[in-house]
Amino acid sequence: MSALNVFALCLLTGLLWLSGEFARWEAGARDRAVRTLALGLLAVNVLKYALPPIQGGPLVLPVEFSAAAYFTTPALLLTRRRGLRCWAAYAGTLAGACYYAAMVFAGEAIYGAYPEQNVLLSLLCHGCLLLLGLTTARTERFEPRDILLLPLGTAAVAVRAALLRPWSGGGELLIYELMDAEPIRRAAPALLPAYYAGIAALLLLAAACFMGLNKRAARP
Amino acid sequence: MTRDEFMGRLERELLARKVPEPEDILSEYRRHFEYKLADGYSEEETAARLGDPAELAAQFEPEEVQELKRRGGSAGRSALTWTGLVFADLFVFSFLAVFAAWVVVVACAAVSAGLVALCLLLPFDMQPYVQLPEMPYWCGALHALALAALTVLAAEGCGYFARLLAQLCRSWARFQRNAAAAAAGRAVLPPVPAWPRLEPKRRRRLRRVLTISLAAFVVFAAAAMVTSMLTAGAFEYWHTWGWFM
Repeated sequence: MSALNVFALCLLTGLLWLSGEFARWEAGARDRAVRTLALGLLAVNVLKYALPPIQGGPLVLPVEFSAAAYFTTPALLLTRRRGLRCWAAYAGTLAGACYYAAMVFAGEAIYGAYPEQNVLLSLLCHGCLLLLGLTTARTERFEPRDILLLPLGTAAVAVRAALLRPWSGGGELLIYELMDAEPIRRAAPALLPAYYAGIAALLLLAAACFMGLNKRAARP
Repeated sequence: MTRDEFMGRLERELLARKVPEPEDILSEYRRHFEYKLADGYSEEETAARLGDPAELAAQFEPEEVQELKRRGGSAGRSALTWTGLVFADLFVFSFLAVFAAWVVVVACAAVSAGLVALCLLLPFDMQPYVQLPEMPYWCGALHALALAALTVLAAEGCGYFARLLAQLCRSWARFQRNAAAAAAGRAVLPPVPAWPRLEPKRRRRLRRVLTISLAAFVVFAAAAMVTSMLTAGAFEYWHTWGWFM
């Protein structure tokens, strides 16, 4: 048991409770809280990506699924566009839940060597995403046809990441590791179609689970 | 008798007896009803405990007050009552002073727990301004979560204790006033309850916040201690990390 894993578990418990509390709030107060949180998250990330080039560093664009969600989820929730709120909630929930699950099960192994302030900032940003996503999913009933948006949006993020690869800042990014599938490409190239089909099936399953959660939790 | 019926009758009786400033008296009884309703008593029970509105109004009638003074009030009884009240004050004021000190202690605990939590969470070296026991950062962060829950618990507790202290002072002041008035043969006002009155919604919120922050403190503190023991490889991790060297 490592302290970082337990710390993430404690935060996750608090976030799940907090999203339940938000869902019980009166609609006006909840909307104000969600918008304030979204504005804060957007401001932090605009600063995070805009400051380095202003200070003379290289330009790095957000290409990871979570990094894209840092912008799309709060921006869509702030603009109140009904058609895309389903995607905003899904992207927030998926990015936050996957990050916290990785933290709880292998936080020390994956992030133990990173500077504490970077890990804290990531925990905060993913925590905000999870909170925004779960609160929206628990309080707004989405249409069944909205499910089409979810895999389409994920595919759009993948295409965008492929196009912006020169500005991704290098390093090992999960989205490129998943897209390249280097170990499979080297060991058994014949399995690549099955691998991509598996990834697609997992994403469809995640979308179906999200819509199921929304159907059960949100009031009609 | 319902509250409206009681208040209506009391108002009519006060007006009929030409009692000066009836609105002040009515507002005291209105407040008494509010307290009792918030405590869970029904309107009928409260009205029955207060007694007949006609008799209550008669206390405030100028001629009736003179009559009461002639019948019950006396200088000797007043002196005896005031002597008793002064001796009681010695004990009550000491208790209230100790209680006020307790409110200050809880407030200081809330502020200091919050500051220590913040210092443990900020990933910067703050020496020589802040001296905290040495421990791995993420163990400290877990302790910080426990302290943050303790901060909420102490802040909510401090707020409630401050309200209780203010209400105890009001209740004691009303008791003194009524005891002196009864001894002098003057009219007495309804007693003020000792417990602070909270709106049902606010009371539910306070209870929920206290329960959750207490549970969070227990869980996070246990998680912080167990993790620290495992990280240090010893039950007494404070010795391993040389906290008391």
